[in-house]
Amino acid sequence: MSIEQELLQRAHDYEQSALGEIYDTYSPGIYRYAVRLLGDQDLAEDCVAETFSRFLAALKKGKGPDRYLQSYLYRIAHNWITDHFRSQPVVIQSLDQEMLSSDEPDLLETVAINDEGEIVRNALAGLTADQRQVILLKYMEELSNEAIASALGKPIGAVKALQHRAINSLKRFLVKEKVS
Amino acid sequence: MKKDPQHEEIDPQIQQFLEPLKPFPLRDLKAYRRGRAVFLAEARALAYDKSHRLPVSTALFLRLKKWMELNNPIRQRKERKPMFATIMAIVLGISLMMGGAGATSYAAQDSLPTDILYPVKTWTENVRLSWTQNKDQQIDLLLALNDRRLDEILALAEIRKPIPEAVAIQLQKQLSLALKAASELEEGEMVKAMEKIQVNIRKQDQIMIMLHTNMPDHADPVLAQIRETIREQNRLVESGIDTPLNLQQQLKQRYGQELEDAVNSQADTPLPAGEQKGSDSESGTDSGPNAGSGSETGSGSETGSGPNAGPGPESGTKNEDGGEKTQTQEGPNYQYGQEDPPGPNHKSP
Repeated sequence: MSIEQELLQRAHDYEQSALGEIYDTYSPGIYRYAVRLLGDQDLAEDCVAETFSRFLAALKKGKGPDRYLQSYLYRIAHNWITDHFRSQPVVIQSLDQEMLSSDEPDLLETVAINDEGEIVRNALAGLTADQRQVILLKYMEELSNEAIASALGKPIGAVKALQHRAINSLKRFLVKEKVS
Repeated sequence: MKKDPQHEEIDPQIQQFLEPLKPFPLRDLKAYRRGRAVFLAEARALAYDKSHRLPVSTALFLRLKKWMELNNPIRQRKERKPMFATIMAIVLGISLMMGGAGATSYAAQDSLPTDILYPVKTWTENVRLSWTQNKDQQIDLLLALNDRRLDEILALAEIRKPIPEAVAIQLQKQLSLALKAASELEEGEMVKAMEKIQVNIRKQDQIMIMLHTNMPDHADPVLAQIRETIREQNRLVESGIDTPLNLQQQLKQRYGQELEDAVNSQADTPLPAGEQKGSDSESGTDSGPNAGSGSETGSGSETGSGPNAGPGPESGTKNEDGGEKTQTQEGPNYQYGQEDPPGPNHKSP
């Protein structure tokens, strides 16, 4: 039994130490994923809270993953974010300066990055929800295709196809940006 | 989770393009701790529920009853029996002076249609109904009384006793009276009331379906009649929600004459032996749906006279000879449906 499987088994018994460990291990990644997509810290925290709440709801029903917990949590977060985008228009927000870490050495450079970040989010907004998730999990979280497939609940072939289409869309966007 | 060590299929152009997304605002520490605390607290609550969960009863009717308690919006009211405590206190006080009738009334509340005290139960229901003037409260009370009929049906089915047809008739009348009361509201309020009635009807339909499904060997024609009643009333309600004015006309055509008869006719049904009150005329009012109900109260201990008296699809319940209703009686001690609404001469209790 792997460490993750043992952790999950203890989680099914609502063992506080196991659940605390799960939260400490995986919530930063969920937050990071959410804040990159949503561009809003509060929303990202909502996403994290709802993700783990749904995880508990699944445990209560005797469901939930028996492995690939991280992918499972990413899937929940992805669904929440998708529902969020569907319920309201996509508003690409740039990161405010005060949202950034105070450790940033060069604020001017940071502002420049913010503007470019907004451009990237605009580009990502043009993708489908699944394409967006594949790109972020691949390029930002550096997960393997197998992990991404588990997170999306799709076959690996589908993940590759999604990635291919997403890359083409982004490249078309880049061409338009250069022309403009 | 495995990361992609060799960065397979990474397009360098896209990787460079996505670079601005790499920096992200650090997570607020307080938000992190708060989120963690909430998560663990939720888990503790679930762990507690799991360890203290009561077993679900294997008895069908206990499950049904619990489901009704949990899902019935009327039962979920804080005051489950409007004015009941007040009325019973008054009745008890009077009866203490008159020799224990109140105690009998109280004892009758759990009686079934085949019990001796059942007429007392229905008489007290009529008293309550007659004292309820407000249309919304009438509707709530009628729906609560309807639920009582359903409880009685379930209880009889559980002990494998045949269900008196009069109970089915009573159930239908109570629903009809509720519909009638709702149809007399302003259009906006009417639709709300109809929706409330519909929730009740649908719940009852589900219970009847569950009853039928779980007890096929106890097929009772009265149950089928009840189900049909419920569905018919549901159709009326749906029609009322869609076109309130049409429903008002429909109800007037269907029940109008009977209601008028019920309101205007007089009855003088005595209480059961030992439960005689000072005056038979204390039924009260000829005020619309109240009369349907209230009119029997002074007199009608022998039936669910209130709602019976009302309008209604009373099959064979027209007053024929100055007030004898011809409702079917079931059971040796059951005098259901013999009351008639007293007329204008009757005084309110």
